[in-house]
Amino acid sequence: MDSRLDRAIDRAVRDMMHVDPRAGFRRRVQARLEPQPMRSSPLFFRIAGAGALAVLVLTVLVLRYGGPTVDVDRARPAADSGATQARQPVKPQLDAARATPPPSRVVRERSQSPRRTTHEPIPMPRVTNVFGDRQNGVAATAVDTDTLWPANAAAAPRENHPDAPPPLVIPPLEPAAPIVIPPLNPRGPGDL
Amino acid sequence: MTATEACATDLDLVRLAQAGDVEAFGELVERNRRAVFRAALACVGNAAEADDVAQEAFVTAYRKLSTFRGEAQFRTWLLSITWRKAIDRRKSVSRWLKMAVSPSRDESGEDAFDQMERVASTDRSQEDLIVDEELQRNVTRLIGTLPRKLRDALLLAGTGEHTYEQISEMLGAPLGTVKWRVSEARRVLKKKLTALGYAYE
Repeated sequence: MDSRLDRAIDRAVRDMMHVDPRAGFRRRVQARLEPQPMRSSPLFFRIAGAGALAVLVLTVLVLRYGGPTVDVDRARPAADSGATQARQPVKPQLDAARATPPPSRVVRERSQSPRRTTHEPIPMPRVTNVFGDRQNGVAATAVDTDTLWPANAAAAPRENHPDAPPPLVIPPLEPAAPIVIPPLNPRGPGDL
Repeated sequence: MTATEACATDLDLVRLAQAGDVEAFGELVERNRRAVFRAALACVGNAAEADDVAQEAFVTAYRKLSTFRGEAQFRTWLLSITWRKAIDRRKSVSRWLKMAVSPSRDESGEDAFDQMERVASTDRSQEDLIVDEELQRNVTRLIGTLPRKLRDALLLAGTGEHTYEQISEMLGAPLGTVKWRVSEARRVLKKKLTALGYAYE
């Protein structure tokens, strides 16, 4: 026989649990079952586009400036034309205002030296006249290469430049020692 | 609902739903919504959350319908899904944060079961309501202080929608253990009510 407390417990549980879901439960479930349409969020596409653009810019910057090695000779074909034009009789003009810092690469006339890649800093000439003399053709720089590289001194007159390095002196090579080949023993260790 | 669907068993409706008939699944929702909702309610203790959990359970059941082979009853399989969803919701961190912010603890500091809206019973006289009002409040409060295993078994057995076999499947406990938990929960409640001064008649 149920006691008063048992009846109270049953009533409390019944009151707590005899609850129905809100009206429209089936409709709410079916709404969740339907495939959701693709939301075209403008903000999402903006963020995605900005991110893609940032990645592209970073990639370009890394490829352009982030390389650890410099192949000097790669710039030779483009710079050779400029150097050739600069070697024509052009008088460098000293300007009161100093030119912009020299470029990070210099092109040397190495007609006979092999290609090589260097990590050592290359001394740069000081550029005094960026635009050069108009009468002598167009040149990006006006550099007295004869002062810097005395190998071409015979081609053009040389002038004393205060900042030019001393002329390069290459000592001649010593003659090689003659090669002495001892005569062979006609009777070898064993006739075949 | 068509006449065919009205006569169809749950298994027939499942086969139709597996073939892509969404309306057949809708009929399954209609037939089982109360049992699923009350199972979720017994776990989370809140009608709004129970509604959400019940919806999630049906959606999960729909997505996993191909895995149902018909070896057990559809309702039993569905209630197992519902109970797992409800347990996950009960353990969720966000829910704990919400409970920590909202003052829902009793004086003893234990987790208090949320107060349910009572369903007014027309069978009880007005005098009974007045006399037993305080007793009912105490019983409801003490149910919330029960250990979870005892409380879950007691509330699931009191929904009127679940058999002991279904409760055993949901809780993953043997049938005898479930029955023991229900009787143990009642014994603990009566002991606490007696300690409060209510006579055990």
